[in-house]
Order: sequence, then structure tokens, then C-alpha cells
Amino acid sequence: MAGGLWLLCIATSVGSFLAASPLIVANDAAATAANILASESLFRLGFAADLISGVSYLGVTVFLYYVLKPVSRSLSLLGAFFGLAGVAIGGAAWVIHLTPLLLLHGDQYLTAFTTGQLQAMALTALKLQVQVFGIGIVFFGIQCISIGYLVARSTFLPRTLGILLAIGGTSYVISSFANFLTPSFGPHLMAFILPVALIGEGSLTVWLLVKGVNVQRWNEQASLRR
Amino acid sequence: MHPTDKAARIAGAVYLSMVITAPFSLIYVPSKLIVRGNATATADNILAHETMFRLSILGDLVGQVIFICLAIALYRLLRDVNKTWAWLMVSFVVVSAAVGFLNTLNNIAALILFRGGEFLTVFEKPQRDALAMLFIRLHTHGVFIDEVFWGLWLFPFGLLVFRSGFLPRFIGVWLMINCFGYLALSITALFFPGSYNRAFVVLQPVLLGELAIMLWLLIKGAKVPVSQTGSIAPTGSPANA
Repeated sequence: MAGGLWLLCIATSVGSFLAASPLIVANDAAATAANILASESLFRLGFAADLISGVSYLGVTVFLYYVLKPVSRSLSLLGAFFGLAGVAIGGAAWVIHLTPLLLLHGDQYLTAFTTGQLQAMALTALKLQVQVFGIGIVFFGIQCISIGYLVARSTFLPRTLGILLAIGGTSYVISSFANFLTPSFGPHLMAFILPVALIGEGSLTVWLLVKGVNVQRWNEQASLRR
Repeated sequence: MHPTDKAARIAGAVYLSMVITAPFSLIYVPSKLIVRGNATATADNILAHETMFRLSILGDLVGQVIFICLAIALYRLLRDVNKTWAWLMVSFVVVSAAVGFLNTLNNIAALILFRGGEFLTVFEKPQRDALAMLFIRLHTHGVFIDEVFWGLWLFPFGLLVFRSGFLPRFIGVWLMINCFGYLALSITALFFPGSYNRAFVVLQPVLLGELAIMLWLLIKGAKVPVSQTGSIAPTGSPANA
């Protein structure tokens, strides 16, 4: 079940990214605005996918906490808290995601601004949204590291998966800081790091979906804790 | 009083305080002050009744805090039914409160723009009002987004009530339906903004599930069979994960 939710989360966040990326023309507010208005339902679907991804990740966080609690209660709680904070930070981006639509629909009260000004504000909102994503990912990265450690320490999930996940989490954190500190170099690193992170998360997701946990060993480790 | 019954009454009381305060910020003040699509009229209203607007911001913040307290009170009441579901319920509420807290910033931004301090003189008044109106609209949309969570947390809540054995099952089912009611509202707001008000009226009976559980907790409390001294045995197993 955790695997299923996680898959949903990855699929929707990739989906949301795919829905948004063809619409955004870097540094061209007018073209971006025209794109968004031309395929508004795609943009709204991208928003819905964004929201679903956050919600399903909450489910993932709770279930992973439950699954990994027998390994270390305090550490899995720590991971869960980072996950919650990450989703809450992502939540700040949801309203920003809708801002371009409000600006570009040109309600009566917005006539105080020229079209160019409104388009510039809309593009700013889109850029802000990307920044919020970058902030949230630091928290997800730390959560991934703690989960990876717990998976590696557990007896009921393969150690390799935990190591992969911890590497993925570390690369999230690194890429995010690289983006903030050196905006020119960061994006290049991102292209290299995202696959690494996806492999880490993806492999655990697939494992949980296909194999699940070793129930017998899980019970053993759970009873040891009590 | 049985500890479970006591926990139920406390949760009911916290719930009541939320039900009393929420409509002020959410319905009363916006309906009095905000004129849709008319920035100048809204600006005049809010500047004339600034204290009321500020009170609604405060009410918003207090409401989120109460919401978290409610989640913890309900967690205490229902954790022995199933811990994982109880955790999920709390998580949804905590994120909802965080989103709600941040959302009040939109109203505060609007107020700053309406008041127009020295540093804002680079904008003309119609521009300031328009920007402020944008933030008011953003706040409304933030509420639509938060509605997703107002719905979602009710599903684990309803399921726990249903399985609890000390609260009526039909209210559990009602709460789970209530969850989908809020989700439907949110989807309507997002994709069919024109029919939001109609959807709200149609879904009203569904949304009363929360009122039902609130009243039940407060008046009837939890009916714990006499034979049960402590809590119900936890039903956790990895098969649930």
C-alpha cells in the first residue's frame, strides 16, 4: 500500500512537471501567458496533479513510519516529521501555482495594470513556485536519508535499497543547496542528480509494491522492540 | 467518568469551539467586506472596518490552532482503534493547519496594500487596490485548496469512528461521505468555478456530518461497554501497511 501511494506520488509529481514545462517559456512572460491561457485545462490538471502528489506523499510518510517503527521509533518519527514539514512547505506553493491564472484572466479590478505588467507578475509567480519546490526538497531529502538508514538497518527489507535511498536523499539536499548558492551551475547538477534520486525512491517503491516487506522478519523485529 | 468517555467530551468541546469561531472568519466577514471584482469598493469596506478585518485574520489563526488541538484530542480518543489511521488523520490536519496559517499571509498582504504606506507610493492607488484584491482572491483560493484537507482528514476519522465500537457507525459513514463532499467542492472550485455556490448548497447535508459527530461527542460521549476496563486491543499488523 505504501508502494502504491508512493508510485502515485512520483507519477503525479512527474505529471505535474510535464504539464507545466511545455507551457513555460523562460524569460518570455508574454509567450508563457499565451501558452497558459491557450491550454488552461492542462495547467489546471498540472495543479491537481501537484496537489494529489502532496496528499499521497502524506500517506507514504505515515505508512513508512509505521513500517519502519520496529527498527527505530525515534528515527522513523524524525523522518516522518521532515516529511510533514516538506509537504506543508509544498502546500505554500499550491496557491502560488494558481496565481498566474488569476492574473491572466484579467478580471475587472486588474485593469489598473497593463497586460505586460500582469504577464510579468504571472511569470514571477511561476518562478517562485519552482523556488518553493527547491526548499521543500531539502526536507524530503533529509527524510529520504533517515528512511534509507532505517531500511538498511532493517532485517525485512534489502539493504541495497536503503543505501540507494540515502544516496538519493543526499543528492536532493546537495542539488537544492547548489541551486540556491550557485544559480548558474545548479541546474546542470540537477539534470545529473534527479535520475539518481529517482532510482533511489523508485527502487524502494517497486520493491514495496511487488515484494512488500518480509512479514515474518518484521514481526520478529517488532517483537524485539517491545 | 470512563477515560474514553472523558476524552470524547473533551474532543467534543474543542470541536464546538472551532465550529463557533470558524464561520466568523470564513463566511461572515468576507460576505460583509469583500465586493467581488470591485477593488475600490472592497478597499473602502476594509479600511472602514479595519478592526473587523483584523479580527477575521486573528480568527483564522486561532482556528488553525484549535484544529490541531482537536486532532490531538481525537487522536487520544481513537488511537487504540488503529494507530496508523489515527496518525494519518493527524497528519492531514497538521498540513491543513500549516497551509491555513500561511494563507492568512495573503489577507495580511492585502491589508498592507490597502493601507498604502510611504513605500507604496510608487504605485497608483488603483494599482495598489488591484494588487490587494489579487491577494484577497489568492486567500479565497487558498481556502479552496485547504478544503481538500478538510475533506481528507475526515476519511480516517470516519473509519476510526466506524470501527471504534463506542461511537455510532452511521456517523462514521457520514463522516467518510463528508470527506468526498469537501473534495467535490474543491474540485468544483478548481475546474468549474461558476457552479461553486450551487455545489455548496447541494452538498450541505453531506457537510453536516461534522456537526453530527461534534454534537454526539459533546452530548452523548463515548458508550464504552462495561466489560471493557481499559482500551480496545490494537489491531495493527504489517498487512495493513
